[in-house]
Amino acid sequence: MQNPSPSVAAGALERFSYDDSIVRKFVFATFIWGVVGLLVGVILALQLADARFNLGLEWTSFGRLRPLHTNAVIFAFAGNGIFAAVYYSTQRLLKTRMFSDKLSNLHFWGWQAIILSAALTLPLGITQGKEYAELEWPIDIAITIIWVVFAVNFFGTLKVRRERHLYVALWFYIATIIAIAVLHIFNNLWVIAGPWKSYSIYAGVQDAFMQWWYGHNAVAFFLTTPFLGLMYYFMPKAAERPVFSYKLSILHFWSLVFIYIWAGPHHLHYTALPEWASTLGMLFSVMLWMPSWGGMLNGLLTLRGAWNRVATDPILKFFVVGITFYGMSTFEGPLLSVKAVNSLSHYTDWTIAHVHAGTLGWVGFMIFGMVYWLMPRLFQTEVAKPKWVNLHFWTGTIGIVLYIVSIYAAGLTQGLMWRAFTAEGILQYPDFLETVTRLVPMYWIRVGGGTLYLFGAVLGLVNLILTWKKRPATYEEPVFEAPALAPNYQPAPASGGFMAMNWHRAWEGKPFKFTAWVVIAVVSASLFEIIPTFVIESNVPTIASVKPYTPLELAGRDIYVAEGCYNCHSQMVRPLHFETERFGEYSKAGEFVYDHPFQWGSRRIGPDLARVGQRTLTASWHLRHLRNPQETSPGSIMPSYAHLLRKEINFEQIPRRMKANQTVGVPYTDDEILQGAQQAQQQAQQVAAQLAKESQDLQGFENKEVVALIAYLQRLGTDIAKAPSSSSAMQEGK
Amino acid sequence: MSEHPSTPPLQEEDILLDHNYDGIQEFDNPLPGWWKAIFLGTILFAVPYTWWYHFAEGNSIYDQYEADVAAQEAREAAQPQLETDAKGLLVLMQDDTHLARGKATFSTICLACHAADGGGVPGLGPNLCDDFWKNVKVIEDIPNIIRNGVPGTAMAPQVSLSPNQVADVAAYVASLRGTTPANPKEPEGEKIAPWGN
Repeated sequence: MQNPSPSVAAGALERFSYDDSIVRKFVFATFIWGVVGLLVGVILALQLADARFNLGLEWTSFGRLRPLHTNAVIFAFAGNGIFAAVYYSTQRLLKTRMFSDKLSNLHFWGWQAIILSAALTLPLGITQGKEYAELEWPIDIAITIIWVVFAVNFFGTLKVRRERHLYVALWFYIATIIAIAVLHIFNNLWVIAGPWKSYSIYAGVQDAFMQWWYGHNAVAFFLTTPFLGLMYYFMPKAAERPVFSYKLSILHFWSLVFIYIWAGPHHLHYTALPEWASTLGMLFSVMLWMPSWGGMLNGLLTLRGAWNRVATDPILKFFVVGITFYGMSTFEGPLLSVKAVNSLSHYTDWTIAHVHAGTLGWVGFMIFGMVYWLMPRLFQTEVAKPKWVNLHFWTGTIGIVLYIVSIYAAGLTQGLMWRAFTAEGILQYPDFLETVTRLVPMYWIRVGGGTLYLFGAVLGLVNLILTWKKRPATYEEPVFEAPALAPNYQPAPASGGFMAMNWHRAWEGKPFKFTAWVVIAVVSASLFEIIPTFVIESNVPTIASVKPYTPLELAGRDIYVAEGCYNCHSQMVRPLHFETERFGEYSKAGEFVYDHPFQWGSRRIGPDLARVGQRTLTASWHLRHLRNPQETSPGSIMPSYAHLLRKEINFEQIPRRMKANQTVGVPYTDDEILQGAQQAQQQAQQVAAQLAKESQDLQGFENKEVVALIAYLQRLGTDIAKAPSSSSAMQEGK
Repeated sequence: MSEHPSTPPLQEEDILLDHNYDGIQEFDNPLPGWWKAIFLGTILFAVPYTWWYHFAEGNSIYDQYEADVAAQEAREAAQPQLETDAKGLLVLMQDDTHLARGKATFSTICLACHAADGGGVPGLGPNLCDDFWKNVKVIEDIPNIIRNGVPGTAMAPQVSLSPNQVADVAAYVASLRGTTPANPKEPEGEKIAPWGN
């Protein structure tokens, strides 16, 4: 390798110390939010095992709490964990204090305020209705600002560094900061319709595409790249061994960053997304296998010569199991993206099991390993309860195994039941509910697994507090010395050809050039898919009979979104025979052109609703079902929505919401908007009259939210039946 | 970097690079051969996969779907037209295959208001298992109600069903009479004579 020392030696010797108090803050936030997020997860698991755990309150139903769980564990637990890792390792890898302590603290407190606002708004039903991007527009803006604060602080630190070259962990941090900024902004473009309400500028197919471009890459750049960075610092530190292969680091980093971006459409196989996009997503998903395993190899092979210590050191155990789960998940991901496999796994618990193997195993265990390694260093005292660390490891591991084995079984069971035909060609399990109640015993096992995992995290939090209590009166703040970087650095010319990778060594000395290449990789890969999705008109063939929602139906749709119905109900019948037999004609792209946001969903805990309006379910059936699902569907695990029978429709806000929809392209005329409230009231009276006619005990609902929701549900999927001929509609679906 | 005392010496072939970041060092190991081979393989895999789904005839997901539906339609076309008069329904009631078909339809559509076992739902559909019926006097009234609904009630015309599906589900509904549901709704309407009398 080329020796940069002549230029280094030119700098003057400087003295500096590291800011560990910010790391201590992030570590505490990680464990506190981790326990909260996991606790909500266990409550959700209980709700699926027995609907009574929804408590009959609107704020605690599954549809409202599930986003709280995902946001808490991803952005609060994993997020704070990432920041702890970045703030601890970046300073040391660059031989400098963070660029600005003020920005560090603004980042910390801003992020906690965002989490708190998420925890307050999500149970209230304030949501954008897009998975992992539920937070409404004011919080979106706050996230953007705080992310910029983080970026300025991080890149400022790169600027004032005293280490010429960037270590691989920092490459992954750079990719994280860049990609998350791009993803967050472009999936959260909206038109505001009130202080806590917005509509996505994208509709239907395009909204779905953007959402899963975001959703998949949130996994990539929030739950993968920063954790690889974490691994590259803390694993060799804990193992006290060199990293296995520098060349592998380079190749798997760039291939991961470039290829990941393409893979999003594998979340939309067999949907109304154009088939070419689905194929593209699938091909790149398969290509991701080895780039992902490159990270696993570099993690596990770093342990060569230290394996004997894994048996005794619980920190290494956490890392080894975490990295192994990473390897497992990144093999399973490509497998699930193969269309034929996906037709079985999609909408089932298989996906849930896959995600939890990745998050509980990889994300969780990497954080736990890191925090236990940091504890004595940050608090400058021995870990208070060293035996608990081992206990945490084992309860966590057993918890994961119980969780994923039961939920893999549940996913396979339900997927196979959905597609089972008898020899005569009729559905073997035509009653959807039967495919749900069959899973309940497995859901109880999941409750057990999740509780064990939560128990381990609580042990960790208590251990953290006890260790913190043993801290010295004042923390020692060691002062280090290193020469400043010489201003006019010229890297030695690269030699040895491409595979010698000396050219890359030069890039590592130029962080802003390096960042520019990351931006190019992320943005170009995105544009290759985004541009054709938006500009090729044949992707979304129009269907003449598909019309915008009426004002009341729009209000009902807003309720559907606010209640988080999409967390359990898909709105997408796939072109699969067993599916059209059960739910009706498969969904066409042109049916969703007025859906801001799309509500295709990703999991069918309840049946698909894309064609529910075509079913001969009457208004009174819907009302009874929403009031008490077990009354019409014994054994159902759906929570009660009795509050919709009490709450009044806000008719006054309907015109403003129609106006916002008009802005994003729904062809409401100004007159229609002006008449919106009145129109909605008229339709509400019609539905209420229908209810009263069907059943004498159902009187006086003309102002209640339930009427709006019923109007929406009865409209769903019906427009296509008004098409001139169904055979031409079939052609249009292609 | 200080080696842990218990670790054995480095393997011969490992070349340590002069990188040192906060004590972390890196080996200059080559990429594992199998890693490179599989990576290349997954890239090349794109060619046959794309060809199969997008260029070879009849393999797109829509082609496969249409083939499945055509097979089903051919099976149905091969079925004789079923009669829904009293005689025809009484014959179907004795045929397990037709009852199974009827049950499948019942379990996707009718159960919403009549319960999975036909016991009825309070405020919605009546119990189909007892001898009391509101709009049925004789067995052939059942297919008529399925086709046309009962105006002014929650019983809507079931327009999505094919004629043979109506026959099968009518026979299945008729067969429910005399069974014991889990939560029977109280009788509604009048007591009628046994089927076929």
